[in-house]
Amino acid sequence: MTQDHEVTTFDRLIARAADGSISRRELVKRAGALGLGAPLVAALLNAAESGPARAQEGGEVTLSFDAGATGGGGGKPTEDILAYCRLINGGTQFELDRMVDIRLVTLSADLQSYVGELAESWTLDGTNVTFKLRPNATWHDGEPLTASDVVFTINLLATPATKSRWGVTFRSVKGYQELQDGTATTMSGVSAPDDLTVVLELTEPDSGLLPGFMFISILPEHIFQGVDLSKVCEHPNWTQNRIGAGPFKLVRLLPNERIEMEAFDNYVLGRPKIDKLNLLFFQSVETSLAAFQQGTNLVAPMTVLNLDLVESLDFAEIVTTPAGTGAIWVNTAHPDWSDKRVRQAMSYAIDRKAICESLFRGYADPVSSEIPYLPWTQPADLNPYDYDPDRAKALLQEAGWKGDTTYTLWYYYPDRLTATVMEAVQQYLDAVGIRVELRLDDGSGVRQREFDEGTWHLIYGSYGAQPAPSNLSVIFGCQAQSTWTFCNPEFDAAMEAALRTYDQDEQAQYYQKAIKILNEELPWIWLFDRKNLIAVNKKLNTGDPPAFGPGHILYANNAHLWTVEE
Amino acid sequence: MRKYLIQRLLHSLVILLGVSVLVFTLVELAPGDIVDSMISPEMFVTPEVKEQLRREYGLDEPAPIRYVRWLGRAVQGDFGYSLASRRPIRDIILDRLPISLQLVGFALVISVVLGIGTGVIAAVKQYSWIDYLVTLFAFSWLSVPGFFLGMLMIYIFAVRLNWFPAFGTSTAGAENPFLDRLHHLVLPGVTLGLELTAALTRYTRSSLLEVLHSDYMTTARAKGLRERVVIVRHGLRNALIPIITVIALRLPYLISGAVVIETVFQWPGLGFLTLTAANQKDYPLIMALALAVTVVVVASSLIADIAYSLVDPRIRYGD
Repeated sequence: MTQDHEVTTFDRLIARAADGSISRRELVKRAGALGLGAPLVAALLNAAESGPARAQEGGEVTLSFDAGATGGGGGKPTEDILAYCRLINGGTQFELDRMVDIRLVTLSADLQSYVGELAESWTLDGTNVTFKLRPNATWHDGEPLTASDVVFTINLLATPATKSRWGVTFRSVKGYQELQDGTATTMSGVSAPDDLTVVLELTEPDSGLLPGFMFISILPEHIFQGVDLSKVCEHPNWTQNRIGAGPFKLVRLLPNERIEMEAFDNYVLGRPKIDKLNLLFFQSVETSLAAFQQGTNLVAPMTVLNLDLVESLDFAEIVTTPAGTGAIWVNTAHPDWSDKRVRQAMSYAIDRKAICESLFRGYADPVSSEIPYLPWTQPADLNPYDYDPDRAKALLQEAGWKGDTTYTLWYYYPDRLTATVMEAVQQYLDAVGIRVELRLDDGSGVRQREFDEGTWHLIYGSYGAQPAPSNLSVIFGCQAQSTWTFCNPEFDAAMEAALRTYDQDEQAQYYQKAIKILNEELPWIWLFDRKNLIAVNKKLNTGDPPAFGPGHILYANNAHLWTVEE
Repeated sequence: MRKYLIQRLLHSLVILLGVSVLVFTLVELAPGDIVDSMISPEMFVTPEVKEQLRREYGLDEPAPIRYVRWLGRAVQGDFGYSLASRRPIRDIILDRLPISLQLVGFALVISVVLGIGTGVIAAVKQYSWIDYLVTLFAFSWLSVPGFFLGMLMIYIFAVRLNWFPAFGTSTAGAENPFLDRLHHLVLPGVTLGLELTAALTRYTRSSLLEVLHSDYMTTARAKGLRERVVIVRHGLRNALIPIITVIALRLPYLISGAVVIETVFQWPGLGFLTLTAANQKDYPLIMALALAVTVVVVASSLIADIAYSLVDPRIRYGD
């Protein structure tokens, strides 16, 4: 009791000293009266000096994101309406969607599980999937958001006329095929028994369904009802008077400049604590960082080349997030690359550790397989392909490598760091007898043509962090063989088995098998798991962990809880 | 004069036509097209889909036919649609034009006032320390590339001193939009204007120096006029003739300089648009923008000629 009392008094004293309601002299006096020793008094004085600034409700936050400045993802507020309409090709305005729209579920900050946004709970049971919605959700225009809106959205996306890339998410829903064939206008397997319940009946269990929902913004039925689905992206709702149900409302969109938003008072998870939110998009990382130093934007994308600058700013901290794996894509259909020993030799030939430490200055980890940021999918016995040029030479010899040809290694990120990494890779490969010529894809379409025609050899590329392991089939499945050249029936079987169970332990078993196959077969030479670097002003508190994801705001960002110090 | 004007206008039309053919050919020769630039390497698009996109954009027709079609519409003021944003190009340009004009106008005013002002001072105080200083600065601004100067300006006046915003045309929720715009104009405007300022300083100085030593100046002084009146009314007025030409002929440089400056300062005008359009291989937009710049070049040289005759009564065309 006494101890508790003392602790409370002590806390209160620090608080009062910090907010300046008592003087330093008074503080020392009262601390003495409490019987505190000299070190504690010194600590108290220190606290009084540097008192934690209060996070206040209200205020305005401006964030800046990547419009190609760091060679990473992200978008920019263009005049292109398709950048705002995510239905067709996914758009580029992740940030706007994440702030203005609401989804049923989203991915947790650690990328390991799903959390409900509009959905309060859900059950996955064989071929029955049920979502219970949070009560009292409303759209930005005050209309109630009900299960009917969700059913409408699912049917709209699955209808072929919409040409939505998300439509395929519902391939296992009953009535999907009829909708594709044009014999039905909605799917029989989607229904809303009441305003707060959405039921999906499936033809077979599908663990890819739930992850699919995190990309799907629920659309307001009362706005999109009756629109010509082939022109749904031309609807003015995307860029003007946009009606969503997310924590922030769109106020104004200035093409090539910024997006202005304000707090939505009736957000179903609670009104945001900050009043206004602006998004800026920069073409130049230097200009963006200059504005960051001025305090204009509280968040700025950066690269390791800006480390010294940002580390010198006492108001800034550097937040890192997985950016996805960098890998050399190999045309396994090409006779010179079809032998997996050649690909393994390539993997042994490159000193990933040295590249990560010296070129990425530690902001990358060496990897040798896919989705390393989802630990539960990683088998314990992955071959790390530690740097071993002798082994590489031996494997090449075994495979009968002639080494009399120079191959083209394309890369398409125009930044300086990528160019340096490419030069290092070129030297490592040359040292074991694999000669490559580096070529930057300037968007001229030559690389794309080679890729389409299957005449390419090697491409260095990077895929953004894939939150759903089932997405791996899109590239490494036999279904994609005509483009990605790789096909392994055992891999396909493991992926299919994982798709048919909701049990994560069981899924893990299958995914680990699939990943082990990739690690052994090496359709790609995985190099590193890059980190995205984001400079964040300490005034902004987005929770723990911070709400920044690969190049942009995280899926689960809790934007309504963000605070900013005045 | 009228006959001369008609002749010049006809010449201008031929030039415009020639430039449009040239730009069209260059865009044609450049590898890749809008479909290639629209599809990122991470997107899964089959060659068939791409062919269909090309058909939708009318890219499957032979180049000469596309050129003639484009020309037919362009003479009616219809430049078609931007391939990237699917908006009418006329609307895009009309949206961006005022933003660029503000910047170019601001830069022009600054450079005329500063350039002529410092030029006059340098000429009148020839070989003084002030003359040397002005010359030093003029040569510096002429030799420093715009993008570097822009970065320097941002570093000093935005980051270090925090006097001006580093980018953009406005602040969200600004109380006085006019003052806010002016505040945003200072850095890009001055950066853009400095090269012209330097050029004007040099031209004004040498032109005025030439005039200062002519006989009629001595006559004016002999009449007992005050030195200020002599310099401004008799000296500067005559010295201005070549200056006007310099301004008119430099206008296109100002506009092309805006491509770099607008990009550095994220000023969403025509310059920024030009760069974006080039990166996206948005060829109808590139054509329209290139043509717009040609119009400005042709028009400014015409204006220079006309202004010449207005300022100097000795010059008469075609009579």
